[in-house]
Amino acid sequence: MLKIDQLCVRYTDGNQVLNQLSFQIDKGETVGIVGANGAGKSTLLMSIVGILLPFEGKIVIDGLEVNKKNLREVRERVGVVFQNPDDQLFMSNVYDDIAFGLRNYGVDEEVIKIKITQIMETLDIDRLTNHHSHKLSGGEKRIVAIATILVMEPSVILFDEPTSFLDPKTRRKLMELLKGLSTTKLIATHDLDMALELCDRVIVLKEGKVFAEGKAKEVLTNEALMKEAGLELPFCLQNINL
Amino acid sequence: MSDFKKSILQITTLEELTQKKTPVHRLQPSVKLLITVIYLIAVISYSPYQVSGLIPFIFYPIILMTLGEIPFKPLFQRILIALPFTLFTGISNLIFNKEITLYVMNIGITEGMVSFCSILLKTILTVMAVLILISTTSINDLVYVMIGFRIPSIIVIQIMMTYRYINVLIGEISVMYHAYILRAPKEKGIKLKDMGPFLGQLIIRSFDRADRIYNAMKCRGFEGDILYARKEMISTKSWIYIVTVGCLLILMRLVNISEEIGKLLM
Repeated sequence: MLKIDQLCVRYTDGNQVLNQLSFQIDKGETVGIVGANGAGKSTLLMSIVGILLPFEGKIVIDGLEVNKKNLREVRERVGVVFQNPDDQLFMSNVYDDIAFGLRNYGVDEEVIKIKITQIMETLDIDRLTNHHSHKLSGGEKRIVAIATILVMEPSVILFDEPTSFLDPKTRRKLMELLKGLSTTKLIATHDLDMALELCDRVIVLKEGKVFAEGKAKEVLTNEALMKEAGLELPFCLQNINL
Repeated sequence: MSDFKKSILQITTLEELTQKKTPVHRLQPSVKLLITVIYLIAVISYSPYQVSGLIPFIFYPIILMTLGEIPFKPLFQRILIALPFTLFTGISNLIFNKEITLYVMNIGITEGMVSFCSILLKTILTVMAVLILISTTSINDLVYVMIGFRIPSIIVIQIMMTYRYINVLIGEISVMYHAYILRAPKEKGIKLKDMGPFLGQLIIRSFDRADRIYNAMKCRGFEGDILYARKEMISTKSWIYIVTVGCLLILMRLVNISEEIGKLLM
């Protein structure tokens, strides 16, 4: 379970990005975080993994509070899939990229080999084992980036704009993959259609605060609410004149 | 093809060369690194006024290139990139050191000319040795060998990250350059007055990117050290190679073979 309690985050330039943010995510839930640009979505994700310490308020993950002393444990429990997979794939080949996290946590090399084989088979990327990360296509990079997190078996996975830069086919493939994951997921996204399809609940951020919260089908179909939050209805619900 | 794409292609060509299966490629990475280091030390340790002693050292890279099936042209193109810096450094020797040291066919050869040739030859030999090493050994293997040799993690990480992200950097420069040119169609390249903001933006973007990458590494437990190194036992064959070639290089360094051959012929 992930619990955020009165979270306030201020950047060094004095900009208050998150203001007394509070919500809770239960085990196994898929929750979408939506909001206009600058609403604080990415800041929230970075705070959860302790990148933006210190902050005011509390973040608790499965009973473990996020603070400087617990960062190693927190980051073992929470995986982050970054918006740009090039930021996340920094080893020279796919195998070493996926193994990176496990090695940092002292997992035996034989066990690493087994885990990587399993995850690559599951994601249908075993053909990429010895490929150079920088030579992969955008979609392949995204899937490999997810593999680097899944292999660590975190209890919570945070996604920052997972469908950005993806073509429709790869986007669909990614969504099917996310649907099949039973792990607790928090997805920060502008892709409201994806949020509508994938998320159990949606939290709408506005100016660093929770503006609205509820079932995805109720929140994302409320045109007035979405407009007030600086958003619009998902494309699938809009009347588009062709 | 744009110049930037050509640059990326040049980098990937070297990567592709490491995939070959030749006697040189089959040598253990630690052996190749060790011998390269011995070679570099032997070459660099010559005084600036010794040229004849360096000449036998040309044969080692030529033999490796032949056995490793490494094409000469791509290597030579990369050596040419390093030469302007050497020429710039060596030119001061030509200008300021004019003491005549010997005459060749009544032409006075100054100490400046000798040291200039020495610097040039050393550059060519050392750059060739390093290029042959990275053409026959994958960067991964080199990184793990360096960690095994207890080279500080910070240095190894710098090498690894530079190699990994140079393509990204060139790609970024390419995008920025094209964005510039499309809004300045009459210009051939970036104007000098715009070079400052262009490079400044590139530096800022690089810092931002580095920050994001570092955060991604921290999120996967990175704490400054590369914890993993493949334990590589050096085989008997490899030891024989190290001792043989190492001794040969040391002998070539201690004994001026060119001079000895010259004495024999005279």
